[in-house]
Amino acid sequence: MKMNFKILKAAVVDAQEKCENLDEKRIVPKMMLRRRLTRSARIMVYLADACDFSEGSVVYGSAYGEMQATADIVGAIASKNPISPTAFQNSVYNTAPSYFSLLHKNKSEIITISSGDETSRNVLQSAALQAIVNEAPVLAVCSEAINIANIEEVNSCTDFLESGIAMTLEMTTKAATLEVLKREHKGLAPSLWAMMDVVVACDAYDDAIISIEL
Amino acid sequence: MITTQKLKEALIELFALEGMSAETLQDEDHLFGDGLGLDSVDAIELTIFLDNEYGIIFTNISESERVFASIKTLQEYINKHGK
Repeated sequence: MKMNFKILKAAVVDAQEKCENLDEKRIVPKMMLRRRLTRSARIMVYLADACDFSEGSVVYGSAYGEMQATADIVGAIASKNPISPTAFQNSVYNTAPSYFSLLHKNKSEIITISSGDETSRNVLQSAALQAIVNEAPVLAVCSEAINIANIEEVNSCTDFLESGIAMTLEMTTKAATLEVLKREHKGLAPSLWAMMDVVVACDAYDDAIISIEL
Repeated sequence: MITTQKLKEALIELFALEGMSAETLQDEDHLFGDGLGLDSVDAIELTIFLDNEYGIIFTNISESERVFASIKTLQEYINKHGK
């Protein structure tokens, strides 16, 4: 079954090494919260802000999760050191949207998805379902932050060690205004491709309505 | 021996206290609550730091509560019990 959804806002960020100017001090004014944010969390709250979204359901995705926190834990284990509690609490896949919810005191549900190269496709589909259930705009957001020591030895999937993509969508009964084509977005992590397909399709439309297979 | 200056610098780095400097912190500043504003996760982080850097291991909570009262009490304890 297909249903139609209006794309209200969309935002993309990427960098070969590190995304600069994520505007953390404005978006997260409290230093004691800001200091704990992981790179994925900084990217995620930036993208949410760019989409003017601070309250409502969030569907977040990442194929690789919190790489730095995971590397810190593995490093501590390898060197027989105690594990940092900060690294431990930051190592879970839903770290980024959880910080988002703390920041905005958002009590709506969060769904976190990690499904390899299909991550953003599944995020988009889950966000569409949430938009139907809640009858309200939903934030769909994916990020990858894999800029850890020696990553070049294993990274063959992306030119951007930090990247993220987000969009807000809501259900509509109007007809679709554009067709989303599957493309290969060279250099970008494949886990973000499906949502990037939508952003590329939306670029030329003011009233972007897409069909999503549910 | 660790000076209060060095300890303040270490705490700022350990807890990523952006915008704070050793000069702006007072020796009597509380580590938790209305002082530096550290929380329970930081308390565990600090406990691990003291073990790693100075071989200090607390055997009861009340002792750590007393030591963690302020920068000054922490410095005094490190200098008395640290390796």
